[in-house]
Amino acid sequence: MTATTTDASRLRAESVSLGYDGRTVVDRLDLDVPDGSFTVIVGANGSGKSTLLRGLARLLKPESGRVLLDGQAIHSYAPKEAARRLGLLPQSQSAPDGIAVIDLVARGRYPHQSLLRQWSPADEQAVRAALELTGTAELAGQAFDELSGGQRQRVWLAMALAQQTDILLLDEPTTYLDIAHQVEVLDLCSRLRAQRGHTLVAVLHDLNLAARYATHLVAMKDGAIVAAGTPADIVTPELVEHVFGLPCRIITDPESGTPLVIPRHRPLDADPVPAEGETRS
Amino acid sequence: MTVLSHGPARSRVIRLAQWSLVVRPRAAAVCSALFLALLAAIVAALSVSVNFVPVGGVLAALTGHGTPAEQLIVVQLRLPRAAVGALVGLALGLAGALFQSVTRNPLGSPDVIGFDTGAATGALIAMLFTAGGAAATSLGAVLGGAGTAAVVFLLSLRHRGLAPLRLVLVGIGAGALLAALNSLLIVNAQVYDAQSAAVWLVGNLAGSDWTKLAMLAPVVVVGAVLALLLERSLAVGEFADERALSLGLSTERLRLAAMAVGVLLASAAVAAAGPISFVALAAPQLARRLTRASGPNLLASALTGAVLLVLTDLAAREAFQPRQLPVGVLTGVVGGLYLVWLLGREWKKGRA
Repeated sequence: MTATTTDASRLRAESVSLGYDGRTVVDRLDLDVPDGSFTVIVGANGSGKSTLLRGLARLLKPESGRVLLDGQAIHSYAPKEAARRLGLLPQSQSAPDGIAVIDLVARGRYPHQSLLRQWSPADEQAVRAALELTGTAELAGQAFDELSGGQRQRVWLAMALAQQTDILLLDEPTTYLDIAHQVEVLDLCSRLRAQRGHTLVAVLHDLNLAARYATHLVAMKDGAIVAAGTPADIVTPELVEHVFGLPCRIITDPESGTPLVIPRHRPLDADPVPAEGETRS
Repeated sequence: MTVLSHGPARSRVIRLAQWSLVVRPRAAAVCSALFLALLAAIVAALSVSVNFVPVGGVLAALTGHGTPAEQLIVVQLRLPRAAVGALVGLALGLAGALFQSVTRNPLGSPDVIGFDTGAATGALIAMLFTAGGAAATSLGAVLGGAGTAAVVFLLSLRHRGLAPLRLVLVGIGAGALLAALNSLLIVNAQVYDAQSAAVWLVGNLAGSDWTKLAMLAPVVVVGAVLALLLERSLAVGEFADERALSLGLSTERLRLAAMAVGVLLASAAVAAAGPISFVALAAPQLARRLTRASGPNLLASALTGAVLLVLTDLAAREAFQPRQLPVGVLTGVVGGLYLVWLLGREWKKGRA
């Protein structure tokens, strides 16, 4: 991995505050995304992790502070120029009516195209590589509407890969997927990092998957970062209790050697469920 | 120049040095067929009527070789009407495709979301309260359409930008209000004015002449060129905003530009022929089914609109002889039925 000194990071947040309608969600936060890392942001619902990702992806303009991409404020880039450096896999699932898979993936090339340069050999190559890498080449001619949830997510990923950015942000890429497809998507992300040196930043809900795949884990609570480092260094029972309010034990994942969070067993009568007809005061 | 077999779905790429252009054979074939159909429809409109002129006579008159009678009927009387009909159809088809793409909704066309009604309000005010004649009516239509668009656009803005569905809903509400205002204007007008205004409100190509054609043509040409320049961005804009933004599209700027061009085209159409319903709503949907391509399908939508309007006008003119119906009556009937079908389908999709 490359050195992770502050100056070297291509993507960083400097005292950035983010929010909606004047309601600040993320408050003066500093973050360095190590180059070539698979950075995973975890936190409870409402901790601001998705807001932070939206800020990094320039979907939200900071209320104060700035997000820097290659040393320059990300909002100062021309939109297409930023889109050639940094890609995003959003949660949104909506696609144009009746669009074919290959058409959808091809639109990932938009930032590389212009009126007089609509389809270059580089576009062709990028789309084909993205289809192959995500195992969606055989779906190319199908209508997107007819795909299963797992296939759709792989196609969205192919579209983001066709954009050919060194930095890729993923907003809960495993939502709606069954466990096998979750692992498949995260395996693919790991390969992109290991084999191509891409930098990935993902928001994940599942702490165990996050600990297993992240090379750099960022834990958030109430819009601030409470811990950052390798999963082995930072995932402790105290941290999980603090961030998620969950009493737990940490054991070592026998497959990967990463920390595995086991929620504490609670006695069945610890918190009585009101009997029928009885109202809880 | 080389033609490559690989492009995005079922397309060909034409290359010249570092430039390249994506062409979809099916869409190109559909557009060519629609263009031929439009020419055929125009020839039919020039030929069929009480004074039937055979196709040979039409072609002779168009090339300046016909008899004086044929020249008069074909070139002076019927050609302006057919040409205005074709241009209005083009403008409506394009405006419909632009708005439906921006709102990501087949119901988001200017005749449903109040812009045509607003243009009609502007035209009515000009008609009833000024003595400016046709020019004032046209100006009134453009100002009314633009004013309605601006208000609906501002009311649809939310903290995170424009919400497409909100635009459709606000537009339908604005349309209802403006329709009531239009009725009020007519009820309060002098009887003679009221009658001519009511006829105008239905949408009619009967008064088309060379002056109208000369006013309409440049606007449609400029609007069409601007619209086609937006086509590739519109295709990306049909994704959710965050995805479009992450691809480097300025969604707000695109929406403003597309709506401005759409309002220009829709208002020009209303100025020329009154608020003709259905064409802007149906043409893009029909075109999409013909080309089977995703994206706004602008050229195919425009040509479909033109074919639809020229044929509907021919039917409205001839099918009920000796009466000539305004074309808006017929498009209204067909459009109403189509709208019922479309709403039913959207409703089912929303519940699925």
